[in-house]
Amino acid sequence: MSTTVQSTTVQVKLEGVYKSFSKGNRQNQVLRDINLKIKKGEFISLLGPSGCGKSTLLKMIGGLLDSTGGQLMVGNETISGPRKEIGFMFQKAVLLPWRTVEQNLLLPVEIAGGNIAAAKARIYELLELVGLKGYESYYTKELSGGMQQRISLARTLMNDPDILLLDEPFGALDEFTRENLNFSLMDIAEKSEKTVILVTHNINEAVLMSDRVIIMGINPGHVLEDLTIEIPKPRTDQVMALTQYSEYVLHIRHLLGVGRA
Amino acid sequence: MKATTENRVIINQEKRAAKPFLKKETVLSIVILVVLLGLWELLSRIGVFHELILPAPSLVAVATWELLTSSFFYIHFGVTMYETIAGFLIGGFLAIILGIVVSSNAMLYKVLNPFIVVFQAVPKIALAPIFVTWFGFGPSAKVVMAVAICFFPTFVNTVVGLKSVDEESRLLFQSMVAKKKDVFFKLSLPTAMPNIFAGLKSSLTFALIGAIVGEFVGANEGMGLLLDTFNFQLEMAKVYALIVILSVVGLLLYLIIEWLDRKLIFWGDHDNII
Repeated sequence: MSTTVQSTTVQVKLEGVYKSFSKGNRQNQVLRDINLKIKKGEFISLLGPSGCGKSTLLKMIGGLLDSTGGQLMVGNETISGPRKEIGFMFQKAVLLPWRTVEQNLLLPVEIAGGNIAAAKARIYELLELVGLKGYESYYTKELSGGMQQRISLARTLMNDPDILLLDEPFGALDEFTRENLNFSLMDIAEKSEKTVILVTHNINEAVLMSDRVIIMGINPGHVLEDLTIEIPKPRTDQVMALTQYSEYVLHIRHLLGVGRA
Repeated sequence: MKATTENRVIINQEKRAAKPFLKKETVLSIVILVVLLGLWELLSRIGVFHELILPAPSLVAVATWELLTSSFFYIHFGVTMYETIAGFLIGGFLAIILGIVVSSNAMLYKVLNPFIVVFQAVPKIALAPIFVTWFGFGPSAKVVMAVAICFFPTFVNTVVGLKSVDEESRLLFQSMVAKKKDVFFKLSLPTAMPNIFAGLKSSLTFALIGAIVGEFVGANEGMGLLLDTFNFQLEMAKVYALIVILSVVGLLLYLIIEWLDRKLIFWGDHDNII
């Protein structure tokens, strides 16, 4: 069953994007000539070693950082700052400890000036989706790291953004929790037809989840390869038993110079 | 995963189990206190300490009782309490407001910082005679003294607290296209609250010091005046009695604000001092 929901409309477009940070008098280039077209409903991974600028690139798409050169577009508009149709999820859950789960989930609605009463119904829906039904009145310190990230994911979805930008969202969690959350995330992305850009340094995770893996190298950060993963969706862990899957993983390993030559 | 009330009950029980009624160290503290007081009493009775140097605890206890049962004491007590609390409220309020104003703008912070550093370096107690000259022998000079001396702990902690918002939380609010007002009230201010309260705790103690120092310099009523007078009359037991009373008052004020802190900042980590 292959139900990859993708239209042909380009939703995010990067053209000749550069980024450098100035340290004193020295210019430190972190990204060089990034070109990327992302279609609506696509699941993209930005994969590469530390220092390849993948998080910087994600923040630029999210409008949290300015580019030094080139053009970043969402639809027909140039990205000049954070946008409401983009939801950003961070490596840390960044929940507000003085708020309950419910109040944390209401935060994006309050900030956007949305309807609080209507949002409450959505909270129950989302808590069910992330598998934390019944936790509305819990405070952050009563939740485990994995639960906190689930809440963070639900918060990112509260205002129903079209595009999800995920900056190593489960990177600090243990292997088992992370895998479970990855499958939840795939479910959510497929059901609600979100465009997802995931930053990761986990090759298996990238291959398993993505329609395309953008493999990045360092000094300065650049695209090594834009690899389409042609394994039908929805994917389960059975995918890992496929020769095709191993070939993708090995190909990326060679490209990044991992393992014995 | 389903939330069960049992989860919570277990968490609560663990907390309770870790906090018995009287801890071993508390019992030891009490033992040490009793031993020290006993030793002091003994040494005073056999004449090692002269009554004018160190009156026995029993004499201090009697003097404390005498003070607490006399009506004139409460007039002075009330004045000092008024000065302390008024000074604390005004000083704390000013400190929080100015802390917020200074933190609101990087330029403003840089411009005002030298003045703040210099004023902070001034030993505020040295200003007491000036305040008496300006505001007279009544309570207002002492309120001003209390304000001056209790301002900085809260001010500095407010500034530090507002600066302690972590980068990712800031980015989160930025990614939600939050207005400045929302960032302040929903993020910066709550983040700073534990620090602000830590500052207020110090300020309260300092306000009491300010009021008493102010009374030492020149007053027609108050605990400081009483202390000075008894000292002059060589009523040493009463001097010590006043010190005991002032310490208990300081402790009570501290406990009140500590309680408020725990109620309001329920999410923070609190050290158990007592």
